[in-house]
Amino acid sequence: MLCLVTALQAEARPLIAHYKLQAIQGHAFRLYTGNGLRLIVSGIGKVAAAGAVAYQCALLDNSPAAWLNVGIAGHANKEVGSALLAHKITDTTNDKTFYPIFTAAPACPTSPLYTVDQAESAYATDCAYDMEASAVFETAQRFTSGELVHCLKIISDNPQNPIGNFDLKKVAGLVESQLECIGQVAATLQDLSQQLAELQATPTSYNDISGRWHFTVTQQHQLRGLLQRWQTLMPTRDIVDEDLLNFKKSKEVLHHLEQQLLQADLTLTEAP
Amino acid sequence: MFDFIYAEEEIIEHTRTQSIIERYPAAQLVPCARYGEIFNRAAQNFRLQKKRPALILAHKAGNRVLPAPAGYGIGSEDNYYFSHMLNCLYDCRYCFLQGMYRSAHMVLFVNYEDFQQDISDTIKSFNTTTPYFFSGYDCDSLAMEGITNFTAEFLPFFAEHQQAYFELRTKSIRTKSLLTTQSLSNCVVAFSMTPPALASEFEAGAPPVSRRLEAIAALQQRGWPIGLRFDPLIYDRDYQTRYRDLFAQVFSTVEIKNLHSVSLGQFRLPREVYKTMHKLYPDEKLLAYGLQEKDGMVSYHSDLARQLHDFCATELLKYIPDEKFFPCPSTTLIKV
Repeated sequence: MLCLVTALQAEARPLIAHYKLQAIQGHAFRLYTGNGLRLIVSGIGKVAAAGAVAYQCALLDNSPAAWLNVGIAGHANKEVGSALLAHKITDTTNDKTFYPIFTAAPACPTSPLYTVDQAESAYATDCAYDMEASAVFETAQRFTSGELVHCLKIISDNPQNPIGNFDLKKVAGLVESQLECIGQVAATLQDLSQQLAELQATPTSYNDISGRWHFTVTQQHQLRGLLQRWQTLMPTRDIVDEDLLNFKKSKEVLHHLEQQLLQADLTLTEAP
Repeated sequence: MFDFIYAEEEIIEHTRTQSIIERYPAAQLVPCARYGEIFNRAAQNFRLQKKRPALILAHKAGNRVLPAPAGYGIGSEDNYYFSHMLNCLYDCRYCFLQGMYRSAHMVLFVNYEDFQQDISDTIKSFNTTTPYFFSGYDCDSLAMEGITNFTAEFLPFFAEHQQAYFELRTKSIRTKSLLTTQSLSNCVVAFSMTPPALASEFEAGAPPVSRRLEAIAALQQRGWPIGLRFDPLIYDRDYQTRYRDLFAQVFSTVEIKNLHSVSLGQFRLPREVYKTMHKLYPDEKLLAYGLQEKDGMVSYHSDLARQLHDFCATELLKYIPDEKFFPCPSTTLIKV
């Protein structure tokens, strides 16, 4: 699952059209879904962005979601229309710094990004300026691994084209012009999310066995570990068989599984 | 090789930092205050990061020379290790680093001169005994030599400190700097060895065993003392054939006169490290079979460990004299 976060409806519109997303009614934020994606329109600013990420998170199941903040930004020297991924995000209010983690070569140039409370018109430092990224990053990484959170910005203004002269009607066009780049980043993130979901999947027979006997919380962890090992070592052998069903206590079940695993015939590679 | 190089602002002007940055003009340089901001942060996944780790250049402020864990020694009571790097170029599935650190990025501490000062101070505290210094605990000593110039900086240092022993522990064949230097009798080049099929399966990125043996052949010819580290011993149904064949292959190359030491090591991990590794690799057979937890450590069940150890020890002693053999105490102390 990939969750897209935009501040403006105009930033969202090209994404909704490109990914053929459908609106979900009855929520505190504008929400869209389709094709393994969710999109939430947060509104402008850090509080709105953090609220939107948390809101979206609460609606998701437990599988690990990836997050991509897409939006416009100012920059001291990048051309209007160019895309960049943030490699260092600083919340200028409190100087908190975040470092997005790249597990593949970046799909576009990268840049430091300052998240500010008021639109930046001085472009004092050689970096990008937005109003949401630090909040998206800080909030999303509370719910998922850091590799699954990125911020992609399209430059809307710079010292030659200052924010004061910016025409909001151009927002959708700027995002639309970078759909290919957004698509590459989105695909990488979806792949990572899928990989993590597979690794964290509940092992076969876990629900069946935990429903038949009463396991304490500690025992549930033990059971999960044993079943994972079973799946790895003896993927074709049934777990729930007559022997197992004869046991009355959960402790006996765990002991039985442990003993069966010890008797597995381990071949790590083909015989020498 | 690296898309990103993070560098602590404090050492960004350091000569070693600058030369590494210049070596990777395409890499994005990202200044940071402390390397821990990146390396130690919560919510990271080692397995995902290992796909494309970044390089972090940092300053090691303290605790540069530490007592080695029990059982790490090869003949001395006074064993120390120091880590100029954290993490490794290779991706060995049994390696504790993947459960020890949250990040798979590679950290290089560029202040070698401080490490050397601390080692020098430690050596001075020993009047009669010979301290050993191990460099390949948190990294491979040679794998990143092309970037780190580690041996170029530390071999001359140990040449001047003959009263101490220095072990480079490695799977790497980056031995050029050693082959172009006069060998040192107090520097052991210790190669980790695993049966070839297991190495190919579980030591991603590391040179094959045959290439390691070629490197050993060249080094021993130049007079470098060689160490052999069969660590960890890995169990499977065919372990006897695998290890018998490995020892035969190794000792068809290694000359006993150049052999400094041979050690065995049990597959053993602190409980929390194992739990993290199993979470990262729930689908890994190596981490799924025959392990038990005892006193906070996870290792093979005692009978498996004993079988493995006894077989390998017996086979090894067909090739080497007793005095060069250092079984891991944690293996020999296992009660059946």
